[in-house]
Amino acid sequence: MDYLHLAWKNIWRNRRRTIITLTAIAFSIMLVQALHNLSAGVYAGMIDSGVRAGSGHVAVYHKNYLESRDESLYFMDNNLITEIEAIDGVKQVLPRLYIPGLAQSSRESRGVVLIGVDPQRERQINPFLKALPEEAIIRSAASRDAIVGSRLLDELQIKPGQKFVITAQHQDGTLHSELLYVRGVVSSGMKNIDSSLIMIGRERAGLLTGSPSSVHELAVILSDPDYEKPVHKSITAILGTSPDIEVVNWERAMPNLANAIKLDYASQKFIFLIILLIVTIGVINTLLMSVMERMREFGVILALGSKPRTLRGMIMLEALTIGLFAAAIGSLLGSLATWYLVSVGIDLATFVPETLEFGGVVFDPIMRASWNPGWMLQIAFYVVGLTLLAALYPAIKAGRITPVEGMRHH
Amino acid sequence: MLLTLAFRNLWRNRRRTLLTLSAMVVSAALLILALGVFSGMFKDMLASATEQYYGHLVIARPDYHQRRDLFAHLPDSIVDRLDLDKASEITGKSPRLRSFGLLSRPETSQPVELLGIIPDLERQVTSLQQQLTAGHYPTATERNGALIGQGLALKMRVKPGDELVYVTQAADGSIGNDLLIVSGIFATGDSRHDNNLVLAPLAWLQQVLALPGRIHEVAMVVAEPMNASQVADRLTKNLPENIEILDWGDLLPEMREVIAAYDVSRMIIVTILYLATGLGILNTFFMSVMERTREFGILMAQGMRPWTIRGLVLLETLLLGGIALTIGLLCGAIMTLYMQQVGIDLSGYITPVTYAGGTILPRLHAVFAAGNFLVPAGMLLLVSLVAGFLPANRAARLDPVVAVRDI
Repeated sequence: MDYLHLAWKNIWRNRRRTIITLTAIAFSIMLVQALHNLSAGVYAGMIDSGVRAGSGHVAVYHKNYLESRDESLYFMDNNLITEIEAIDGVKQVLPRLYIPGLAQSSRESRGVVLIGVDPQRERQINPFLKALPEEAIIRSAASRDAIVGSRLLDELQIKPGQKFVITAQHQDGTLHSELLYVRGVVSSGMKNIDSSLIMIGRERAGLLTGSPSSVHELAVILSDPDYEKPVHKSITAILGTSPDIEVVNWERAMPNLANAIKLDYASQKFIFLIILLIVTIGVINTLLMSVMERMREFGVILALGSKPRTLRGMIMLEALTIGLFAAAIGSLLGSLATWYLVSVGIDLATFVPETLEFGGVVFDPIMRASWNPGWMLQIAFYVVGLTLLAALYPAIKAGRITPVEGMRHH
Repeated sequence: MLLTLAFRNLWRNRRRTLLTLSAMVVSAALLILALGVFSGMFKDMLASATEQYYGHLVIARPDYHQRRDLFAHLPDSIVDRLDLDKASEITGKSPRLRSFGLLSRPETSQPVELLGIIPDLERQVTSLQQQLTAGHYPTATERNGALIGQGLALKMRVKPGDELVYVTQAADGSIGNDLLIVSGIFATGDSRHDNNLVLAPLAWLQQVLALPGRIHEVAMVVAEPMNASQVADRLTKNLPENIEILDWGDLLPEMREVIAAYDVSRMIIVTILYLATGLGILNTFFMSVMERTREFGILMAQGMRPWTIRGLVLLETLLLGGIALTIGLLCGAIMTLYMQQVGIDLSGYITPVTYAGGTILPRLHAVFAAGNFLVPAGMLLLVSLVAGFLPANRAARLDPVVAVRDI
């Protein structure tokens, strides 16, 4: 306790220096914590809209379908949907059928990938359909209603309510055509979605290929992303008897999104690394200066019988005090900044395009943070560790002083 | 005189100056490296959209880009009539006819975008010939040789030499279909091209679509992509009515905005990093000024003006900034050069990522851009001056009588 008291008094002998050093450490902790929380919030938003339009938090496919997207690798739903929906934490299961085909109006033709969906389920989840009014939704899984991307509609030069023809390959190898009517129009802002999306009822889609109740994908939406692991396990157990079907998480089903996040976070970590490096050099500098100033004092202490070990320990204790104090202030500021970023957020609408696509999802220009207290605590302790590391050289330096040398110093 | 004094003062506490200097050098050098790598990503992203597909400039009917209307075609003689070669910035031009349809084999059919091209002209515009994984680039003598993406080849299970049927709606309303033979397979890393794009001879597609002698667009590349819009403005004057020229920024407005916003985000990163560095400089100079209180008192007692003292301290910080800048720029340039020449391949860890209509490749690769050096350099000097301001003021405000008594 005496040593701690001494260390506390020592660090305040040069108040201005200590305050500047504390500011630098606390500022960097705040920055790293706030930026991390902001990114985590943005990533969570991207993942949420990504999984809703895409594969779900976890997805069920025929083996090899993900790699090849070969439409012959379908499976029958056989009550799978009801069984998966009964699992704790599952919010919704979206069955989907993907069929490559040619969409033709009287003037134009476009190659598309037709998505066969369960319209009522899809509507509750899929962000592309959420904005559509009830009368724009496909009436039943067997109807001839289609929801079409706005750009595709424009390219085909047709209007809502008008008809077009879709041609796809039947299982027997021949080309089959179906007449469809435009019921709803999707305008997601992403060029490749708006120029290629055609959604129809899954039974109508199944008729094109000759197997009405087949699916390529069961996108499982969870009520909370944290359920991912247990749900993954439960589905694997249900699938136990059908070896051809596999469960994958969204990172594997949507590598574009997963890697976009990875890449973005990696570049941010590099910036964090530079900040912490600079701060560490600053701490070394401060502690070294405070050691050099006290040479004479240390000489006296040694002459009075203290061990070099005690001196080293005292320097380390001073560093620890500075580190802990800065970590506390920094985390407090970091929490305040996070609180602001969670409740208000940053509106980037004037800097980024309205429909900026990143990793296959639309980037929301209003960025909001999320709370990650565990991670904040971790970074605070990490910085305390760095402060101790920075104190090593000054401490060793102090431990090497001989009493005579020290006392001659002025 | 003052400069020599400032320089000598800096080295009176060598260890402290060196530590501060190293923090400044580290921040400047690593910052330059990071910015160079970010610029490299943007360059890859732009190249993926332009050099693998659009080109930097496209001449077409108004609105063709929006609707891809089959009937918005031009005579293929437009290429000669435009007399494009006068614009020396243009290094390649390729007439293209575009069609959307199904590529079929007995087992499977896939939707594709098919570009009818003249191989020798197209290779001046796009760089797909450098990204072949099998076979060869179609030659002028092949009547129906096609270049297809790797993803598509995988789905269709074809290799060079295999036959495919292309089905589409022709301009006369009939269903056109004809045979293609796979010449080569390309892989760009961008799934939108690799799964969807097919290049075939222009004359063959003109026949399939029943559009003899017609094209949809002329794609061009320029030596410096950032000047594309100026070249477009110059060319617009020579264009006939009813034909427009678009640069890549018009074709990819999101990418243009993202690249423009980079200037802002660079400023933010630089400012944040230098705030930490600036606090270190501030600390060092406060210590150095406090140590010299007595000395400043004596200088003032002998008649040195406060503003000279202030100038002296500011000169010291500026000098330190200048030295850090020189070393930092040098180290930054060396690391950027290394990342430009060698780089780091990340394809084992991540797949390509789509961003703002382009693709970021899984590699760390730097490019040199003046702004990536000028912004960190200018800001470092500014931060040195600002951080030196408080200590300099403190020194200048000393009362000689009190100061000479300080020990």
